[in-house]
Amino acid sequence: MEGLLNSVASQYLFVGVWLLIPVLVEVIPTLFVYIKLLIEIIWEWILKVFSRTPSAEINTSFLPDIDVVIPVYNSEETLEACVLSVIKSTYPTNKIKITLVNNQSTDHSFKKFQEIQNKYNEAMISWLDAAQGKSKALNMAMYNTFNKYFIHVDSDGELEEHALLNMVRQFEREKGTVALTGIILTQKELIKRQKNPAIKLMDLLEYHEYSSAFLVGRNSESGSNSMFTMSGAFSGFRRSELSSTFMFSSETVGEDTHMTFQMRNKGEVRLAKDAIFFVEPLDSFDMFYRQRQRWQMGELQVIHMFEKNGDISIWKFFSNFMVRKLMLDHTFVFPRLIWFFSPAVLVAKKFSVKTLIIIYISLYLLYVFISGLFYLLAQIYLRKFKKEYHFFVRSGWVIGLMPLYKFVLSWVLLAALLNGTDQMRWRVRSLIDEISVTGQLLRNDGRRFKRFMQKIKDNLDN
Amino acid sequence: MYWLIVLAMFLWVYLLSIMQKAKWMAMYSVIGVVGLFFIIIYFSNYSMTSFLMKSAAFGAGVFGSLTGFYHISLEYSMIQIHSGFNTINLFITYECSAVIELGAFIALTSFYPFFQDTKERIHWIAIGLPYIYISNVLRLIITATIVHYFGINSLVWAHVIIGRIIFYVLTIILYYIVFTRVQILNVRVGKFKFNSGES
Repeated sequence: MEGLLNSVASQYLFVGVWLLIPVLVEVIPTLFVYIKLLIEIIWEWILKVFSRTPSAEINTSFLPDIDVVIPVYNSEETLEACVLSVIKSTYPTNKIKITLVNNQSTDHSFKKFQEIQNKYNEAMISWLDAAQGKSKALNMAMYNTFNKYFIHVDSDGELEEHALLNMVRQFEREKGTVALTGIILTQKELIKRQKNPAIKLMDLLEYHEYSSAFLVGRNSESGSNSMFTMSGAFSGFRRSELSSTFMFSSETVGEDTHMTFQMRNKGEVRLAKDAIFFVEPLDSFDMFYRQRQRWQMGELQVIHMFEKNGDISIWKFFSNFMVRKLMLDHTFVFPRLIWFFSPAVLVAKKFSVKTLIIIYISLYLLYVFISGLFYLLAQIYLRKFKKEYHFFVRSGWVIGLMPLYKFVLSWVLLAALLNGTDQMRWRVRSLIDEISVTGQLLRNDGRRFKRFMQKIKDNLDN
Repeated sequence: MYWLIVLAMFLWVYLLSIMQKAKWMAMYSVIGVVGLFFIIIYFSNYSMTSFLMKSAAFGAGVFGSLTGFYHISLEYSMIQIHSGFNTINLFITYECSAVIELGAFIALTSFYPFFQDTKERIHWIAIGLPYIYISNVLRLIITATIVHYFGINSLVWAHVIIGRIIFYVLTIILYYIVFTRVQILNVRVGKFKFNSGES
């Protein structure tokens, strides 16, 4: 019996170590992030308890004028709700200049703008026409606005009512901060309304992925000024610093990452911890496939654009966070690909299938544990947003499926990396397109093969 | 059995040609890598793995003969480690021959879509294979040295944990230089289209 246990243990160690190392590369930094943020939370709580000065009342008359820029592309369905969320926010309406920048819409967005302007005439709303592309729209807005803070939001989302006020207050408080990214969450009402159970599940997982990516991931990066990407859906900039950049790049599909890199060179790029923007959840797997491929491609392009001689050398592993990020997001994909298929080799070489199953279950549980830690941490930050907090806590059961979601995601990222050779497109080919093109080729060959066999048969008959 | 293998290989080549026609680079690369990996593993028969085991033993033996920490037996692909008054035999097995890692590297390099030409592929294979071999030898040397100093009880953690971690880290460094860095340096930027990618 002891011999058997030893043999299982040594087999476990043999494969377990190979599989555990990539996990450890993620687990150790994750635990580090978790502990760091936890200490921060406790410290802030202590300061609050012992602080004798009462929290200052907000004097809105001292708030600066701000620009809220909304790039518009075929947004007639969502534009009103988006603009309304800006107008109804707790930031004084008379201090907000809303600029809608159309970039070659083909629907009735302009008509919708006119309606909005008539309906909410207490707000300052203007319309600009730009060339196609979000970066071009944002650049045109940069030229045509002038207020102290430049905040852009996507036209298909809605701001939480205190988001603008909290973001501007953070800017005013932190003089060294040049840019702030808001927290992006998906709209829970739309998730609840989703009829398709598979899409609903994907949306819930996406919701929890976002919450952990912003409330934990970016929150931690924010502390060490190593944020890789500010959200393209809701970010704010100090005008004086934004004006001295090379603007939003039209050379990459990752214009938000490109701007983050530029701003990081000018000062602190941080997370606005109390500013939430709600975006639409995914409505299909295809959308997810395309979106993530674009993000991945943008990441690689921007690193390429900022790569100076020797910048991403392996020797910079400890000094340049980009090398570490690339290793996690790119390099590890390849051993994972091999190790996904190599158990077949091990089984053929008489490796115990049972042991393999135990190893995979252990790994799965480890990932659930890590996601669970993030789930607990994110709750602390969301507590002040009561409705969001309740939904977040109640939907926490999906954490058990998070490793599965991450597994699917890792294949999408692999596809993004390997497809990246010739995809200079904003809208990459969808999985359905890829499958249908391949299916068509297979069917053509099938027909040709059938004709060939028929010919042989006819010849034999004759 | 053999006709099945031939059929599978035929199917593999056919699927590769289809993926190339469909311009589905990700699927082309994945099918290419996985197929070639299995082909290499299948054809790496006893004499091939035995050669690799002996080569690894030989490489590790150079350090052993210099330091006297251990001796090797090429015939049995074995390392005899002297620890105090004991002699511990460490057999180099299939797993230690690094055949899986060498096969994986050849497969990945052969189908990685970001090399400019065949010359570049051969260049990286010519660098990668000796690198993996040396990393494997280094792993054996470190394992044997730890066991020499700490005795039989250290065998499991020295061999299975420390040795493998070192090997893994060295392999990841190679993958980073060959795959990640090459892609970043060759990535295309510039004006992109807004229309759909459907062809």
